[in-house]
Amino acid sequence: MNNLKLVTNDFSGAQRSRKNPWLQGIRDAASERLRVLQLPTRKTEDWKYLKLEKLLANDQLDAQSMQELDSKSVEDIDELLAQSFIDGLDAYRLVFVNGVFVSQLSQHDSNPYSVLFSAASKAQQQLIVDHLDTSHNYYHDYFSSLNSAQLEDGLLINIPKDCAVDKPFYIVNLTIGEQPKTSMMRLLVIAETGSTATIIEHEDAPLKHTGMVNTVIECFVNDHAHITHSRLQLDESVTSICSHRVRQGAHSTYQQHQISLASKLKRNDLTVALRGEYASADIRGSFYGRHQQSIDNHTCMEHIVPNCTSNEVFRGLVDNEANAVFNGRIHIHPDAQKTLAELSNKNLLLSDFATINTKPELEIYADDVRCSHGATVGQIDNEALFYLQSRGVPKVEAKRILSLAFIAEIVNQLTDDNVRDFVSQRSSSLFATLQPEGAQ
Amino acid sequence: MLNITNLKANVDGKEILKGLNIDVKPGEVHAIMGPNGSGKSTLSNVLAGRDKYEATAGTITFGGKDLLALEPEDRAREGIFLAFQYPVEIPGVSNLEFLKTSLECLHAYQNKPLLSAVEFLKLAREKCKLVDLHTDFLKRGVNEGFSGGEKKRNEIMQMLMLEPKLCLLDETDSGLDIDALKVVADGINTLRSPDRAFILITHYQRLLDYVQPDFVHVLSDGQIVKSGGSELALELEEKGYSWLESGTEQSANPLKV
Ligand SMILES: Nc1ncnc2c1ncn2[C@@H]1O[C@H](COP(=O)(O)OP(=O)(O)O)[C@@H](O)[C@H]1O
Ligand SMILES: [Mg+2]
Repeated sequence: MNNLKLVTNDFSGAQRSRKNPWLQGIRDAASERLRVLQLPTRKTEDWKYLKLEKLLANDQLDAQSMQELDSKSVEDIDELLAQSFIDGLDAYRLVFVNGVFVSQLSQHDSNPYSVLFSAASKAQQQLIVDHLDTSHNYYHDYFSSLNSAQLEDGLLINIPKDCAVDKPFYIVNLTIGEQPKTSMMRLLVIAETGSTATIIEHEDAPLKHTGMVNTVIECFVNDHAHITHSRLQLDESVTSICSHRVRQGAHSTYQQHQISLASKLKRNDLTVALRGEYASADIRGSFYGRHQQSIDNHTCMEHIVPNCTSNEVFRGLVDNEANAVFNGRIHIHPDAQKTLAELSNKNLLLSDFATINTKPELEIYADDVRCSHGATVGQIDNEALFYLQSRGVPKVEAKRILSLAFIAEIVNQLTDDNVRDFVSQRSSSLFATLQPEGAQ
Repeated sequence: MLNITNLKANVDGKEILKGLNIDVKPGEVHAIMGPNGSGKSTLSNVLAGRDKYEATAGTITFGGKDLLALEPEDRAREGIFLAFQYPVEIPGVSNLEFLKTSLECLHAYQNKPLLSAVEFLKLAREKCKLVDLHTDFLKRGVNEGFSGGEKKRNEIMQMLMLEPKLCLLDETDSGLDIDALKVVADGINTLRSPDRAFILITHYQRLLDYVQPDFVHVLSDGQIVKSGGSELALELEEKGYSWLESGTEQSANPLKV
């Protein structure tokens, strides 16, 4: 631990020569896109609810140099780290601090499935180059392009054909350091035909340090492959922008549980392309914003071929003056007959000053499809509140219980007991700090 | 124990209770009967402290304390329990969790020792059995998907767990078949003790066949128009409420049972 050195990605200038020259083609292509793409503004439809320029003012988008933590913070970190990881989870643990892999904190002996880009073999390099930024060739946004333009390292998880991985991959990214810093995360998952794996991603800021993370995740779920993916975004102090793209083959399943705490700005773009028949995607999410936080979720289900299923359930909880967005797009292409697509987003406003903008967006170009969507925004049920009070439970506590109950539907579906307990415990301690004066 | 003097109360600005007096002593069972809309539930809601049920005149003291000054949760902690006419469903909160929180809140306030997890579970199972609810109900969301009868039995189950000083039952007997009615009556009788009192709000004599009240009051148009012993309930059963109509100058319309 003592020689723990935290390195943050330096992407100060294009002139600097970057590591891993074999990625240069990826970087160049992204730089090219960046010439045209611009930092989104409120006029950009997809970003209209966020004052992005304002939010990013403190979080620089570039230039970080090597950071060495003093021994005091290393001790602090040691202690906190013990508590930050999910207890009792038997997994291949891969720990990143500010986007940089820290092998001292990781436990991944005998893990033949994952490799850092920087340690990839020639064959793996080829695999990476063949897949990166190809998940959706028609959709590139500013931030993911920025990530690619500055790409030096990343994590490849490659599950061989017909392999069922014995334990989950537990990928942790911690933001640590007094100076706000920007880090990049890049994850590439390639699940070969017939393979099965579970991935648990966990973003945290154990010392509540601020920073920014720009994450790009690409998942290739090939024919008959099954991926279960939990994403825990528990870093309230961190600005985070994540572009997550999934591409599914025939008869594949992709299941995601996303638990997100908002922050000054948290943006999640999830695009699932169902490209093989009988593929199914099951996306569950819950998000919670408080104070002046923002969270912006955009999901897009691309039904490209017939007979696929997508099911999305999102629950949002917004308190104080927080602001949340849920935009769920379902795009059914002309060939995608017999599609079954469902989307539900329920939200609870805990304060009169909180806002939520929820919008299902349907684009249906096939005629033989079943598609349902619903979005609701409500308040805490006063009847339930009174019922609890009449049994001796103070109003604040009653409000806490009902808030937790609202997202319990999502949290309870986390399949791993350890993960579920960890999330339940974290959320109940979070809600313990609910303010008594919360508006009705 | 409970003293209500000249209570007037509004619901949404409309006067519903129009000068009501009741005095309940420890150990007593009072039955309040009366036609629909006479203000029975309004009374129970005012006692439990529900929003929008506003006392405009009169006093309520409970154990010497000014009840109207207390928050609903503090009324519960002082020992008031209302079995709701329409218990609410709370998906996502299990019955067990709910009962545990409730019991902890009450015990902490009353300086009683907290139960261990094992003791609590044992107690909860016992009480389930008493009201003939399968223990699986403990794991389900509060009243979630319960039938009408199950909801009522669940109220009694909570009452048995929380052991309140004053039990208010708002038409707990309505809509119950005879077996469920007996379960409810047994629950009440189990709890009867010299330092506990009951107010049974009911439409029918039925429940009173199993739980003998000390006093019966007839509520009509926001006032107690007649009080008596248990024989009054039988009289009401026989004659309905209309014979009391003349006693209330406010009611111009014939009363319906
Ligand atoms: N929440 C409410 N809003 C408006 N009016 C109400 C409300 N609750 C009760 N009332 C009115 O108050 C009167 C008494 O109702 P209630 O106390 O429920 O009678 P009971 O329980 O005796 O049938 C009725 O006229 C009813 O319509
Ligand atoms: Mg009533």
